[in-house]
Amino acid sequence: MAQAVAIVGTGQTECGRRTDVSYPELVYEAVSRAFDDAGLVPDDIEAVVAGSMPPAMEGVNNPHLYWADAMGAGGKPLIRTATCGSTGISLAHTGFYHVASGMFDLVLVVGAEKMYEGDPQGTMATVADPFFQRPFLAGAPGIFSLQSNEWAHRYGIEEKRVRMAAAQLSVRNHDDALLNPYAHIRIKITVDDVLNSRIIAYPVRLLDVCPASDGACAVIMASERMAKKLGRPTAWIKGVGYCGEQAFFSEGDKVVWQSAINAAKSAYSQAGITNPRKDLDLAEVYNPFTFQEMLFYECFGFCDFGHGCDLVEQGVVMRGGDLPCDPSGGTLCTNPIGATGLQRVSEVVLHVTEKAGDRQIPGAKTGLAHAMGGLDQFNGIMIISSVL
Amino acid sequence: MTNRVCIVGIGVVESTENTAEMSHKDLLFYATRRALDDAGLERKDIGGAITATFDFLEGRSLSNQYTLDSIGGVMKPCDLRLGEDGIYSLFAGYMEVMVDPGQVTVVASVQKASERDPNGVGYQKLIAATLEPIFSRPVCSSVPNPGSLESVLAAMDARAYLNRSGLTEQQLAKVAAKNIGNVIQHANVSVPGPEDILKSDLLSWPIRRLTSAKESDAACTLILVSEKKARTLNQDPVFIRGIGWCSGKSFLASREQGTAKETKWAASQAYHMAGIRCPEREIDFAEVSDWYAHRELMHCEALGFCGANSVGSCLDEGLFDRTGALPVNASGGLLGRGNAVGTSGLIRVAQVARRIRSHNNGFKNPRAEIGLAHSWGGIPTATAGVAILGKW
Repeated sequence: MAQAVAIVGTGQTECGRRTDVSYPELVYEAVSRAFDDAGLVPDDIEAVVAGSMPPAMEGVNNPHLYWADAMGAGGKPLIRTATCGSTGISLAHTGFYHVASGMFDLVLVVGAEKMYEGDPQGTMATVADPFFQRPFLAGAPGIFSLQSNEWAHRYGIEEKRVRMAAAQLSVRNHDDALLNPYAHIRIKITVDDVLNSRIIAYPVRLLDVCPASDGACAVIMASERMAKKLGRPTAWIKGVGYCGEQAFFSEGDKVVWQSAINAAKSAYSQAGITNPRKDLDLAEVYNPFTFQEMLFYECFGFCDFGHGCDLVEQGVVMRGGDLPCDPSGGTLCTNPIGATGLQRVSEVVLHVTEKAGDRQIPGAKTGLAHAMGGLDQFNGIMIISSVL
Repeated sequence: MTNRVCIVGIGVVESTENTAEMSHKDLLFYATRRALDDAGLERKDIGGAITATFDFLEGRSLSNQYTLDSIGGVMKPCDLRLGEDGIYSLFAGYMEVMVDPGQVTVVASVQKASERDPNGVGYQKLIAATLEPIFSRPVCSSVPNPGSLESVLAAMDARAYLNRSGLTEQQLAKVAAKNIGNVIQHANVSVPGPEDILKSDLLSWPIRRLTSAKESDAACTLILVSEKKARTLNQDPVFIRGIGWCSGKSFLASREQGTAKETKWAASQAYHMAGIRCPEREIDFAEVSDWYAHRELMHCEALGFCGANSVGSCLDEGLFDRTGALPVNASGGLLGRGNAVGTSGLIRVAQVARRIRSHNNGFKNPRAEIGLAHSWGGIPTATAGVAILGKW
């Protein structure tokens, strides 16, 4: 059966337009910080897992091999996982399986992206089916604005109310990002700024959308035996869940989003979580779009379906609330796609090990990390706790 | 111990079938259908799905976006997508089954080379795009004929190996003749001899048309379960006794040409896991990467099938022949069957598993209990994967 898996070190780079470093240098920055955090050196690592967006983004086929030296992966087992937006969480899951299967004791997991050097929307268009879907696509905002409208329409939520809740979420994320030294967009904004920002794809406005960022994240996973030997602050992976949907996104219900529901149920069941609102102390929900975050609250059982706005209005998901979400500023303020899911994991680890600095949620013991990817079709979740 | 992992379903579609009439999705669907039929399972039984392909070769990003439907992976609890050769999906699947022994995991890979540029120039551009972009790519882009880039890179490796080992071009031709002969000997067709191989077009010395594998279409699906689960199926399981994979350094100029260190490292991991101490005696047969004829010999050496500097004499004595003591690429290998880049590694595993299942299967060496499957990719970082399969 599965062996317990610990996270013993994390490393993130400052995100933004990183013209000061090459791709491998960016990766090295995150990896060396993870080693410093764990008190380890590259020779200690037994296997490496790496990933990014599809290689069209990097312009290099198999980019993980291009970074092999930067990760200290030469002469070691190295595997690439990539699932678009959910790449980071898929990487974390792949690393988890490396250790939980009993094959390795120490595994380095790395996600990275240099979006300013590539063409993100162009790359995403090559993910879609070339015959039917690709001609209709208008980048990611087009797809997710459809989802937002469908959600509001399904439950008859007034447009004004949805926009106001989304604006409050945007302000919360931007405020939190000011506390996160690694965040990309670090500006003070108001609700009016969000409401008056220009429309990208109705109803999504500029301040409802994530940026394109350069950045990397690395995490070191260890077996129970190794984690105890290291004797450093440790977070434990308590549950993992992943689910993928069919290729044509128009064939699935994206409001009662079954892949998100299934992924959460699977992770909760492994972690013994019966009431997520009560059992979780924080959640890093993948929120490239403000509207989508509220939809995820419903799929993850934080509230009933159609009541996502309530959690924002009642302050439940704000810093200081019952279940603070995205206290890092979230994907909305930082999105180096291949690293984003791993940043969610890394942030939860920092909170449960009380290493989150200014953005620390006091007393956080258990958190949820999530990412969504594919063509509006994959959802992955990891539950992380300070207690084995 | 009931947590061992085994293969219970094998499905392969190769270019001997009419792949021109099949899309990527069709190829994977038929491979998966055959694997499920082989295992006596249905789509509803599938618990996890893993695909492995190279995006640039597909002409489309994120292959599991569209392949999940074909392999029964929709709405399943676990799904991974790897950007690697297909054999890596076996490794990922192995680890998933070890974690959840109740799960039926499908691992799959597809490649449709026939949809790419038939003259090979497009493919050579992809090879250039695989290289490290700042130093290596500009140098390689200056190769006068862009259609020969892959051959030029392979030739550097081959020449270094020939210099080091003292092997001759005739011996490389012998490898190609052996593998091509292994495929066509059933069909009453004349088999090209080493002299015919040496007459084939020279791409970049010593790489010739017939000493390098031709690209092909293929799809392969394997179904993995735990030993406990296998007992509930009416199937002859093939056990995965050891796995290992490894990547070398990324910078082409600093790589030691003419060696197969990554294969040696991957094999030592797999041998350790399988408890194999003397591979030349304990391995009954092997399917190793013969992307180029010289690589087969390099890999046999790195896998420990012969002593250092004796690979040439082993080849000359027929050790690796179909009727030899340690048959290598008795299926025909990549030189005989074609190289579905990115899928061929998983097909090697399927061929080893089939032969272990089929007892004698027409081979003179009746002992086919432990087989080794190997995969190699060389650009930009040399990567190798090794799987050791057995009856128990």
